[in-house]
Amino acid sequence: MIVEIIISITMLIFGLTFLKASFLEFYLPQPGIVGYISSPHFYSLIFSVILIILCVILTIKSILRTVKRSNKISIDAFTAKRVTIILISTALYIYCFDKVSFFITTLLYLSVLILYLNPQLKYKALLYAILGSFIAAIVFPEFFKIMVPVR
Amino acid sequence: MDWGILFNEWYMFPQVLMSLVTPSTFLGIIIGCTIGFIFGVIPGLTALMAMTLILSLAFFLPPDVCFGAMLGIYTAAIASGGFTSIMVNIPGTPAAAVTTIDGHQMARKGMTREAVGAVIVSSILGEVLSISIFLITLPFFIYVVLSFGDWEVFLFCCMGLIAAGALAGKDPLKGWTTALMGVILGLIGTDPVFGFPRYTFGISELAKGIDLITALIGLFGLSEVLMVLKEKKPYQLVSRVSFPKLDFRIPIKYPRTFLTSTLVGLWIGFIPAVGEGVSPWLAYDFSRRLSKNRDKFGSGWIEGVIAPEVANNATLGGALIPTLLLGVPGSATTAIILAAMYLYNIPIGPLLPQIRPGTITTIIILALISCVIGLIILYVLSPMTMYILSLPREIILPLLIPFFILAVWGSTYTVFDIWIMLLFGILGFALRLANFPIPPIVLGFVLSRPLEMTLRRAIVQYSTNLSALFLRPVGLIIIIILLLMIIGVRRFTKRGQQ
Repeated sequence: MIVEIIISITMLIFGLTFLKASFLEFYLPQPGIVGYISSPHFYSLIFSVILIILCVILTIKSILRTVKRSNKISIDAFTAKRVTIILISTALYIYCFDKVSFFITTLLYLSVLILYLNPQLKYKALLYAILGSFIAAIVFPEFFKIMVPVR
Repeated sequence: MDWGILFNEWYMFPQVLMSLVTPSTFLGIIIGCTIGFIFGVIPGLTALMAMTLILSLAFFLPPDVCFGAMLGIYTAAIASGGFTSIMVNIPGTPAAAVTTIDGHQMARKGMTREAVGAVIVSSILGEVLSISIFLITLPFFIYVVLSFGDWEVFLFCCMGLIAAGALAGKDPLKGWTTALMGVILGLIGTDPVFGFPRYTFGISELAKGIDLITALIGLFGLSEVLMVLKEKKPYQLVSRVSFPKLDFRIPIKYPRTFLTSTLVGLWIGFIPAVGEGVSPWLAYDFSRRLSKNRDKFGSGWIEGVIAPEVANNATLGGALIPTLLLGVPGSATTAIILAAMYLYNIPIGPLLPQIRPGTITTIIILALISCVIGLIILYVLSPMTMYILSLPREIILPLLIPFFILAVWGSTYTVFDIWIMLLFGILGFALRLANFPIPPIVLGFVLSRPLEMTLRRAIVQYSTNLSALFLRPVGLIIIIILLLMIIGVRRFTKRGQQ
């Protein structure tokens, strides 16, 4: 699967980034082997190296598997569009919720999302969104004494 | 050795029991069971998701109420997942996947009440038996873990990572990769010994490390929401249930299946991070082989429902052993309980019975009470299964996202952590898409600090003669036992999945 290869390569890059950071930030509290072993980066260095080795094997295996299965993609356009819209709206919601009113942003976010996922609901979507926002922004923080940034 | 330590938890049983008989604890368990029932019935919503939400409230709840609610969720969600398997042929939770084989066939034959009744009784009695076995064998396990030094704890953590990687998914390589990734992510932040910042990449907020709740909500909460919204599968309702037919003679009628499945659940639970996703498959396979009616399995035979349902709930007893005594979570769900213990500053590890006597007994009693309450809630609410299943997931799932955000906000009060939660959600979703298992990454994340600290301490302790580490008898035994377990379980998992 293409996704598998992408994930394997991403993890490989992740491992390489951490390996590089281990060398750049290397700090030896004591001289000699004991200092080397007890340094804050020794273990992360070892784990990064093992991760890189595993990722290389995984990437090769994924490529071989994909070739065998003739490039089968596990995510369709419908899913990709749906997930992208949800993620973008969630990112916008996170960006706005501490700047604008938490209740209003939650209401807007839920209305848009419920309507997008269930277009036939129309007015009902707003009702669900009001109910959800009321619980999330008023009841929940009040009951558990969570301080909401801007109510 | 002070032998009193071994039996302290037993002595404290009546005292702890009396202290837990409070309205708030019972209310916590009742709410937990109800939430668990709803999350268990709806495919896509899992016990993990519900427990993660409760975890974020740990700051605002007394420990007994929080643990009670979590155990209530676990008991009810794992059991009610089987209802959906029977009625809709879609497992409500991953742990109920095997129940579809015989449970759905029973529903088609018009035996829905019997099948749902068997799910309730098997799940509850299986959990009670496994928790009781844990309680009875507790002094033995305390004795064993007290002989553990840093080196043994390190080895157990390591072998846990290896076992979890090998067993949590179909491809061990993927499991190990995610486990290692979890370990590295857990190392971000300030070094616990020298106070040196690691992997912060110039971002000052990362100096405190990645918050466990943030990571858990992202990986188990948000990513699951995205996964379920990925596709829309309409349910094909086969039957509805009135009040189920409970038969408490199941352990007497089918003793072999019941005992085998309980032991399989305990054993799988004991292996770190494997949990209730694997135990039902093994229990089903074992029970089929040992049953006189093996030919009837797969065609709507009641033992095919009993075996997986006993095993998935019995996993809790086994999973609590490494979680409470070593700080190594036996399953993804016990990782949430472990995280809650961190939040309450409970000193998890071999010294827990000495430093905080009564803590283990508290968890055991709460689990037993949640079984009793869970039995009543499951029985009373089971006619509502159809109504809950008719609620559109497209409405419920978006409603959960503001709660996830609020939960992270409530635990850290920083927007930065909410962004981290979103990133973990995307990471979890991407990993799931490519069939990477999620529990090993959580296990790696939870174990990264204990792994590092125990190894560093062991090396400093034995710095003059490092080879002596490998001659410690308990360490050697751990290596041998866990290697045998990995080989054995891998073989049986393959067979079970086939």
